[in-house]
Amino acid sequence: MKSSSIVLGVLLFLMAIFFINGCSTRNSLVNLDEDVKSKWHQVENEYQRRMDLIPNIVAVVKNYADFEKSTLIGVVEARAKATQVTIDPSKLDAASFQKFQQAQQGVSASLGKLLVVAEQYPELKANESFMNLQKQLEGCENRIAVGRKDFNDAVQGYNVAIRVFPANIWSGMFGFQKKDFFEAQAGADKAPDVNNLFKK
Amino acid sequence: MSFLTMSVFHKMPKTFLRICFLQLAFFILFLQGLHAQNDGIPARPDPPRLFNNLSLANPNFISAAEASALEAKLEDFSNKTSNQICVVIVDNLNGLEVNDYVTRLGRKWQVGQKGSNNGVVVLIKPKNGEEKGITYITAGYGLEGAIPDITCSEIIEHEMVPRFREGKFAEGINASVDVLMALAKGEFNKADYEKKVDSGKAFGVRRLFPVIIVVLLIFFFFMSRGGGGGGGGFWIGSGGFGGGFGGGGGGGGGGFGGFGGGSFGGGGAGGEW
Repeated sequence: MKSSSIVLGVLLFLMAIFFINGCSTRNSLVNLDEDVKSKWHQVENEYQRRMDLIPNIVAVVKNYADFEKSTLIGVVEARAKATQVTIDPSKLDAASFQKFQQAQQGVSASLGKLLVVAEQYPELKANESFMNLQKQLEGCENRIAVGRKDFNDAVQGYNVAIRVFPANIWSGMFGFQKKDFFEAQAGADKAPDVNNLFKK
Repeated sequence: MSFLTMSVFHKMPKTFLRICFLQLAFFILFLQGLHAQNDGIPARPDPPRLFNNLSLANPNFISAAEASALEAKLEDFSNKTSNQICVVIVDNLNGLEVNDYVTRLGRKWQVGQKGSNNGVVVLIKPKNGEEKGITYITAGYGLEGAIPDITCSEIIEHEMVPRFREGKFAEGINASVDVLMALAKGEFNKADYEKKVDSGKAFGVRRLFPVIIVVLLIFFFFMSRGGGGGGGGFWIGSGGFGGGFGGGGGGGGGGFGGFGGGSFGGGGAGGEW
């Protein structure tokens, strides 16, 4: 009688520890998962910040009547295209990253071209609002780089957390899967240096 | 981990356990070693200071009297508004881009308060022979609205660089800091900060509740079963809760409360002279 109650007590104790370990693992994985999602929002915000600048840039450049229309249209179109590509935060996978990346790459390229073309317009270059917009653009590119690194760090933290023992037992059971990184495209790993574009 | 330890504890000879603990100790040391790796960013000042001249080549970039006056001004501002403006002078950027360097430094030192991210880092790399002087201002996430990149750039162009060119370094720093303070005050004051901190605390306790209840239930279960030994168990449980909760406090000590845990998004602007 007495020994059986001790065995029962120990068994219950072990089960309780097992249960608590499962709960706390699950909770910490949920937190990490949410962290990855919020970091992704941050990345999207930073890209959005850049998109919000574009109408202002276009408005300033438009005042220069002889500015190459095709370049301006290119920027506007790339922006319109990129606005349509959004990612469902519950589906952060390599395929949707690539789509998003491509659309944003279009914006980067068209903006880069605009800045190169602007080089031929000394008045535009000296325009104060244009210079300010350029600085903001530079800040945007820097923020995008930081946001993206933060996101990848969060993904790495999450990927490690679901694979270490004993969390790997629980992560499989609760359906926590490995996440993809937001890889930079070849040559896009560094934020384009707006100043250098001008020196060319 | 605890599950494993519990089940094998009585069966293992003492020497084996000792080896296990030794390995664990080494592992912890190893982790700490990894943590302290060199990232090219100077260590956070201890005791915490808001004005840091880390330059060996220019120890008197501004005079000692000017430095202590500036420190007092920055600390006073931090105490009154919770906004932290940190001025750092360094000899080189260790090969990093200036924007990257400033962002990393702000994050590593945790300038600004946790949650509100209301820190500002003003970085100055003095002229060195042929090398141009570099300066950069970046604001934490929470102050990006009050101090946008253009404004950082304007402060550097209008307040800092012209004075630096004339060799009036302290004047340039003070003028820039004054503008930054006026801007930061507009968007964020201490009342907002306290509200944020309070709501954060309430959230923390609420999240701990289920854990506390489970722990208490288990200990009550053992108290009612085992009788005598149970009382001790209960008190250990409550002690553990107190310790875990207190861990959030900041490590103060210096003239001001210390850096608060703010983070940076990588914005800001720089200049040269």
